[in-house]
Amino acid sequence: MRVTSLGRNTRLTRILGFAVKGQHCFVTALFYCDHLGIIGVPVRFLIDTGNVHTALTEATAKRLRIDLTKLYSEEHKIKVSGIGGSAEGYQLANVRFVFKDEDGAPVEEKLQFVYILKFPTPRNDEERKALGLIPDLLGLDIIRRFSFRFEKNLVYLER
Amino acid sequence: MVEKADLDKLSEYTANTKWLLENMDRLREKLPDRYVAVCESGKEVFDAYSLDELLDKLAKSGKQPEECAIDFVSREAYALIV
Repeated sequence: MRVTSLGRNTRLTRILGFAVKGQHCFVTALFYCDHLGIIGVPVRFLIDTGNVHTALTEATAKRLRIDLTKLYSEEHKIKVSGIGGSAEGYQLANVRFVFKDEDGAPVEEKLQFVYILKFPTPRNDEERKALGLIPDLLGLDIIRRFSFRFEKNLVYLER
Repeated sequence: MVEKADLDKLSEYTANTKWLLENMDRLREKLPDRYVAVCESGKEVFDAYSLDELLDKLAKSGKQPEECAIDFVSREAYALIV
């Protein structure tokens, strides 16, 4: 518990992320997209303050059994670019995430949409491998709802 | 409303994910350039040369792909800049 300037007791929500030495920081969450019937599938996100929108890769979409052909319309289409070049993406609307706080309680966050990143057709084996390494990204649309701090191989998202 | 079973599933997935990341160097030696799925905190590891093949393997073994940590293990370590 903590005491705010108004004197009210509020519970500190603290989500625990993790990092393996020499690697990025990650956090896991259950992913929900009710209108597609996706109910609580765990996803690992790289915590990426350089990314405005939370994004799932095409590989994760496959694992979640999202029918990508339903998203691949001009209406949902977006262009994304990064250090490695540009790619196409699609918006998946009305999604929810449930994180677990350090006491085991659920912490729900809703988003109007996430991006699904469509991988370009690899030109060679090297490119195919590189595409396979692209992670799902937790963007600022969620991160900025929390403050975060690092401690050894842990990262805390708090509010 | 979130079911306790779903939160348990998340804990299981998190444990699998940590195991996968912590053992990446070992997996790189044993299963280079393959997709791997880690189940039950590393007690079971499945591998295949494509994601589709791996998902088929998991289905045939009665594993829920949602609960496994799945990653591509490249032969060489890449520095990922995002």
